[in-house]
Amino acid sequence: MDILSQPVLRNLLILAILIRLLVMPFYYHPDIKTYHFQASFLQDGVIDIYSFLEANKERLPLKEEFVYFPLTYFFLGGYQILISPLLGGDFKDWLFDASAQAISDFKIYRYLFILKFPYLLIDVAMAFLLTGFFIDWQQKKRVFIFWLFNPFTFIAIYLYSNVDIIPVFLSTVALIFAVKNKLFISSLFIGIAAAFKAFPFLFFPFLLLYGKRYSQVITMLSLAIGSFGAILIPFWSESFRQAALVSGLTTRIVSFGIGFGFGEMLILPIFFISILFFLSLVDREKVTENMEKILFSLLLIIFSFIHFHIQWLLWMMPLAALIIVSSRQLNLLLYVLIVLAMAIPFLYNDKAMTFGLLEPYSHLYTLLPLPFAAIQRFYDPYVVQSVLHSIFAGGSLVLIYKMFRVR
Amino acid sequence: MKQILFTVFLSIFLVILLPMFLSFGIRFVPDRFQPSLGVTQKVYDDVEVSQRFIASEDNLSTLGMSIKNPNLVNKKEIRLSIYDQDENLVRESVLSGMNIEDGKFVKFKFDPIYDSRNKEYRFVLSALSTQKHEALEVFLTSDNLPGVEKSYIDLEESEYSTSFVPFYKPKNFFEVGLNIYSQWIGKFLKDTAFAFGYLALVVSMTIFIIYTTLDRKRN
Repeated sequence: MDILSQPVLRNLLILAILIRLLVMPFYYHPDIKTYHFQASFLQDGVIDIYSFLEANKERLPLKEEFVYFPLTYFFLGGYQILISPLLGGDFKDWLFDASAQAISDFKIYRYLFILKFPYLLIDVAMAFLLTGFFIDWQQKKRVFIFWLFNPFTFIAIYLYSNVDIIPVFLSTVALIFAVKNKLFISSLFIGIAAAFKAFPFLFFPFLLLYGKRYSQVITMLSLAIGSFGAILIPFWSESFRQAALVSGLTTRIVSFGIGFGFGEMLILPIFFISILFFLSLVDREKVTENMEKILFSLLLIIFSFIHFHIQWLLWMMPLAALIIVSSRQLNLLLYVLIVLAMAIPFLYNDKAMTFGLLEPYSHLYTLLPLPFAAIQRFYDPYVVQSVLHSIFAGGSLVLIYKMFRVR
Repeated sequence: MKQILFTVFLSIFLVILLPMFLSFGIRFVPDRFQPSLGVTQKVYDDVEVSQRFIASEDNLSTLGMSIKNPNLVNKKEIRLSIYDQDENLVRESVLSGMNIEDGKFVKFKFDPIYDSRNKEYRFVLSALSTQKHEALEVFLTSDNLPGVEKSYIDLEESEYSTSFVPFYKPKNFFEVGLNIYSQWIGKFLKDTAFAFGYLALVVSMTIFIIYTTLDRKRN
């Protein structure tokens, strides 16, 4: 049975697209302007964006480094070239305007709508992709509807302009190929996904467990690292290393631990991830039944131990969708944890996380005191963040335990 | 079903309702973005900065400006005095250097001047108890601002104006929200081609959903 042949599901798909269209033009996170500003140099023939930004930092209006991997640059830059007639001649002026007045440009709604449009396509494609994990028609329907109408991805993608949806989609493609025992294609997709952003490589050691023979594992390794390396090596430079490799995730994941002298540290996220990996390794027969739970647990461990961006929570959402549909007993705990995880970044001292999102309506919203400032009147907001994060970590531990107990 | 309704409502809430709710928290409205920050001028002892301007609205209640406090050395008072066009002192506001971080945008708040619209005022920044070495520095601007003349530094006309922002208290609870909505819609419609295409798309999808749902119920 085909999803699109069902009138109710077809209507729900159109409704899901409609509610996304409603929000797309009107919410703004500055990241979308920053990375599109950087991607705009592809039109001028710039291939190595990292060296270019480093060499021209002084004269450029926006000084940020390009923190993504090369495929993100080519994807966004290529998309800009493709739809430049729709964006209009003033688009580049808007990108280059670093002043606060840039948000007052009357074409900002057009720009936001068009720039977020690829995310809409990928988001909808993800709904169809997730149905491929199930054979049962009811489960296919549930995951399709869940993905289209879950508020978490809706907020992460369309309010925060989250470009991570691209590597998230490709990682999910890699996972479905692994589940269907097409391991080499899966490895290729992981390498390509990681060439957008590094996090898909977190999944790869676990996907290797699908390999039944050493030759398979070696081939998978070669394909993933080979495809990733083939894309990245031309850009290898100090600029690239500083901008993209020494990123938020890669440094934060190794910075929290317990020192035991001589310069060494027990890095807690790595410690717990290793436990997860070795448990999976010794019980490989169950890997194919529970891979979404294993990868979800991996992300729960990581987010429990690091200061994370709300955009990163998108990485876990396809896995959450699969778990919610297949293991409904865990739904309440899972929802509570996701809400908690999304609430923590709202307390950061960062206007762009909260009221700054409404600047396309009016810059007056930036005058509102942040939740951080509101809490600061009564208590230390960092302590409040820490308490919530600790509760999240505790809840994650319980969820991980329950996921592997529930049949 | 609940999830579908929740997310649909969330979408409508985010686009239509949330901006109005949040507008109730905006208690003071600036009439412009902050002018560019140029050179700075120290305010200390008998060195004052004086600035004439014309208020654009009623209920002038705050003047905001960026002030440097290098090494946070200043812990003393800085005073803002506002005079009307007859040189009557109408308002004063005092801040302490202890609460001014280096380069921070600070607000001198005072009781609203109810009938301030289109009236000329002069504000004076002074710090009599401050010595030169510990002086706060106010940012000036070379921007040409409507209704704003050049500053006077210690009674001499400067080539710059003070980089400041006047804030006005809304006349009623709904004024800010209604202004935001009218400016939002006006700005949206200004890009006529996009607005027309976007509205056509949204409306046609809405009609399609309603029509097919009703049609299915009839059958």
